[in-house]
Amino acid sequence: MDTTTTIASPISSPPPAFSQLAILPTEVRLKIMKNLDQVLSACLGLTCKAFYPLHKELRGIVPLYSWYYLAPYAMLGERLETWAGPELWYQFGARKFWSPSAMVNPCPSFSPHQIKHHYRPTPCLLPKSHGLSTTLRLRLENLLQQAIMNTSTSSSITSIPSELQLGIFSYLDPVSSTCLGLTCKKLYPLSKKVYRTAKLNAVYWAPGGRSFNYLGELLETWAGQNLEYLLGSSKFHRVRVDRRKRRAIKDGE
Amino acid sequence: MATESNKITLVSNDGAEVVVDRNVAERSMLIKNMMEDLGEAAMTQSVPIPNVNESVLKKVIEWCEHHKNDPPAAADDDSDSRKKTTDIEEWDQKFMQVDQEMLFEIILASNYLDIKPLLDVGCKTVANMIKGKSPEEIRKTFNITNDFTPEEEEQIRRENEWAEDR
Repeated sequence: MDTTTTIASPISSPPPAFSQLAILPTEVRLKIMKNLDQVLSACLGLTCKAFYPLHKELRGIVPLYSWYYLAPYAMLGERLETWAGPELWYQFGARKFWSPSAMVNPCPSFSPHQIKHHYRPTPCLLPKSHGLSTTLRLRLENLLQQAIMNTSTSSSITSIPSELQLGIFSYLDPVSSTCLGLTCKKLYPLSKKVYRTAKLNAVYWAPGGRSFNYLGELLETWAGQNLEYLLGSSKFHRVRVDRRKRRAIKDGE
Repeated sequence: MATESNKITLVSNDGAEVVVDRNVAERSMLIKNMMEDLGEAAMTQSVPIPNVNESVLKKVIEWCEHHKNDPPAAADDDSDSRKKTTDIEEWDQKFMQVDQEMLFEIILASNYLDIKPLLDVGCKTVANMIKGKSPEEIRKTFNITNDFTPEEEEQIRRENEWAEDR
């Protein structure tokens, strides 16, 4: 028995001369798409322009490693391999499409030759005598392939996928979020997404509420030696007079 | 589902087998859904967990063990009230006292295995390491390379109206 039957549709007859699906009213198409999970929605979205904008509206960005839970279990990236064309393969470790020919050093522990050898053609990794159903065998082989491809690159805040970075941002106050965004280019757009523009006089309260910092103060070293944060205007100003004198005035406030 | 055994064997990407109670493993929605789809077949086979190595898998299972009796999260939690607080219960705080690489591996694994409460704890832990720090301090904490040019930083000050023009 095959779980694929659960997704088999009544439309197993040859396709019609033109697509009735694509000319359905937008609300109906939207309704259909709402019933799909994000992987199927992405696949349908890529079929034609009638669906792509709807998919984007409903699901936003769907990462290639999104998992499709029904048989045949696969990640979006795998499902899109034919769509991506013969030059691009889905690479499990990097979770992106990549072109083996264009890459000088695709991943540290395999040479391109080895990857080709390991990755294609799919070797039968499990002994045939195991008595597994075809679905389960394919699923297991698929997972084993990934395990082979999964090269160990050390994980860090900049290497994790952006939805997870967004997850971290979602627990930050506007001040901390802005500071994190200013650390590097990868994180900056995310901080903008969470809190448009934090004002320099936005306040960070230390746990317990006993002390606080203005964003401007936390950004003083970031702003560089020629700028200083003035509480009065809540902006950075060019340092004109002796910086130390200014500081003294500020501390007196 | 009528099965005599309530244990399943998970296999990490480095080939280690870990036997766990089914109800513990099913804190992972990925495994839970897989079990429901595959039924009996999955109970007799070991389940490969790619993307997760032995030490991370064991760590994640340790968390699942401790939290196996937690009530399921309130349906579609009111995200605002949930997000405001970064309080972490004591056991979880201790659990998360690991090196940074392990911390992010746990975040990746809980995302992959679809264990939302663990993902939340991971993200909160990182958030707490960031709070109240300046960009330089954050870079130092997480070993982030500054790839902004001075001109780009200037541009940021302008677009955010942070600098007084004169």
